[in-house]
Amino acid sequence: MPVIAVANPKGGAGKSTTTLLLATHLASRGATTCIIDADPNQPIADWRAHGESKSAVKVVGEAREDTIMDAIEEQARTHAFVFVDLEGTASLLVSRSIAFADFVIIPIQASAVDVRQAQKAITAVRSEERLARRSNPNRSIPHKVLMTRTPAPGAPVSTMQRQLEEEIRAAGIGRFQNTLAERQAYKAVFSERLTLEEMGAMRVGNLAAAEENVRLLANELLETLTAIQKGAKA
Amino acid sequence: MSAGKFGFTPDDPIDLEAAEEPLDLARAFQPTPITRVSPPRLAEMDRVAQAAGFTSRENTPAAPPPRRRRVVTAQPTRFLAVRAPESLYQRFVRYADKHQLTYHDAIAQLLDTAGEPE
Repeated sequence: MPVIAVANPKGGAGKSTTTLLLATHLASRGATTCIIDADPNQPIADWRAHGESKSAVKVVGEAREDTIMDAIEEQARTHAFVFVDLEGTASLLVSRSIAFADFVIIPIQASAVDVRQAQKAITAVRSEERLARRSNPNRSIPHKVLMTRTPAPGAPVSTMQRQLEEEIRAAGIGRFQNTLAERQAYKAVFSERLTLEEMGAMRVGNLAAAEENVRLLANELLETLTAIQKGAKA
Repeated sequence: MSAGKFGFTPDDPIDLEAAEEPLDLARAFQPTPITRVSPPRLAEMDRVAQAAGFTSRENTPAAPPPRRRRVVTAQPTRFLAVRAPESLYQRFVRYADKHQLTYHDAIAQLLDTAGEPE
């Protein structure tokens, strides 16, 4: 474990990018890592099948509503981290994955459309959590919002993003302090079908800054997961 | 607390304290079989999800069969335009779809049922 679902019913929120960057980063640090590609467009399965990346991350595609739970359980037996990259729609595939997750990342852009759709994911997390607590009072589905496609560090932050961050804080919803900035390198990961580390020789924007962004985000994720594990053992 | 501009409302705030020690990734996270407290209650899980707007995309019901094609009658035809309340309109279309009738066949069937002479 842990099983990490990456969900937002809105398409284009950065779910696949977030999943692939974090999973390949953790794999590069020696962790056994698996991605279950539950997006019908299969962007990560395509990355694995048609690319030449040497990353140790395992990718399992073709997840369906009736197989997703078996797939999660099977991969959790052999991988320390199981990411589930979910489709950009409000389907039972998404809700079932959320119900079985140890942690849910909800990527959102600072736009009203993204945020309103993201609330569906948050509502689903809360509902599934309440249901699970009927049989296990200690069951929780921790979740955090991740701001994606944000300006690079040092660049001006939009008023809407500031308002959104404040409202998320006021609502008591967890939020990653690190964001995932809009970077050419993240798009190139999918077009070149390589990891960030493997694109070192290519000219794809500020690669060093992109790698540092992912490293900081991954560290925050690990801190969060560590705290969850400590809480579960307490 | 009322919803703000984006509609977020407080619920179960989660306080996740940061790790205090440098992390040994391999030691801290290891593959672990999932052990559930109780068997998955799938139907109940799905019901909860559906209440939150999550629906199946894989078991969508088949589209209703197309309405029966218009039969060319020997009689000349006249045009009947009816302005009706939305609910009555939907009720009539639903009836015609259910019985696979053209609209004029549906009207004929309803008149027959009402005992109106031809």
